[in-house]
Amino acid sequence: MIITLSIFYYLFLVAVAVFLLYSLFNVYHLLRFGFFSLINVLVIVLYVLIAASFLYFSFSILMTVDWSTPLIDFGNMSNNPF
Amino acid sequence: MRAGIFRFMISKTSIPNRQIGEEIVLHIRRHWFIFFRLFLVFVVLSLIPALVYYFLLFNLPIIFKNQIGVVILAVLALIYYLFMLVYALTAWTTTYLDVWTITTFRIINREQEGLFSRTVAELDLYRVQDVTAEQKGVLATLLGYGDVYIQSAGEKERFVFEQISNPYGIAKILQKLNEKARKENPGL
Repeated sequence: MIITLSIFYYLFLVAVAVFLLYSLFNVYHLLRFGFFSLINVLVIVLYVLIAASFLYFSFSILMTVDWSTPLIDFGNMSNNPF
Repeated sequence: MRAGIFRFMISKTSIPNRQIGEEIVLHIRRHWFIFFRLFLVFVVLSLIPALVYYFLLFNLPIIFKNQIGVVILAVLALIYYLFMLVYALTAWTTTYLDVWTITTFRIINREQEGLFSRTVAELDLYRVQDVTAEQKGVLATLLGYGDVYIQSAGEKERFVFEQISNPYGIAKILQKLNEKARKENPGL
C-alpha cells in the first residue's frame, strides 16, 4: 500500500471547508446583527475579496504539485522520502 | 438606500420596541485601541510562518532540497493562514458586535460573546441605582478607555460597558439620564 502526497491535499480541502463554514457564520453575524455602517460594509467586502484571492492563490500554487508522489510505501519501508 | 444582502443590516437609528418619544442618545463600542491591539496580534501571528521558514532554512536545510518537504511546508503554511484569516474575522466580529446603546429611556446591551453566543438585554434608566466608571492600567489611563458598571435595582447582574472611550463622561451622561428618568417615573 502506498500513501501519496495527496493526503496533504485532502487535509487542505478539509481546512478550506472549515474556513468557508466559519467565514459564512461570521459574515452572517455581521450582516444580521451589525449596524449598516461604512466600516461594517467595508470589512465584509474586504474580507470576501481577501479570502477569495487567498483561495485562488492557494489553489493556483497547489495545482502545480504532483499529488501522486509516494509519501510512504508500506511495501518498501526503506523508501524514505527524505 | 441599501441594496442586496446589506438590506438585512440594522439601521443605526432603529430601536427595538421603540417607545413613544424615545430617542437614541449614544451608541457605544469598544475603544479604537482594542481593535488596533487585535490588528497587532494578527500582524505578529502572520509573521510566524516566516520565522519558522528561516529557522528551518538554517537548521534543517535538507527539507528545502526535497520536493515533498517543500509541498508539505507550503500546505501547512496555507492552512495556517486560512485559519488565521478566519480567526481574525471571528475576533473582529465578536468585538465589533458588542454595542451598548443609551436611549432617553433605556440602556440596550448587545454582546457577542462568541460566534454562537449572543446576548441582548435592556434596562430601564429609572431602575439604575449605581453607575461606576473605572480606568485600570497605564494604557487605559493614557488612551482614555475603561469600563462602566451599571447596577440596577433588583438585578443580580450588572451591565458592563467594557473598554469604552471616555468612561467617566459616559457615566456622567448615564447619571443625568437616570435622574431625569426617576423624576419622570416618581412612583417606580
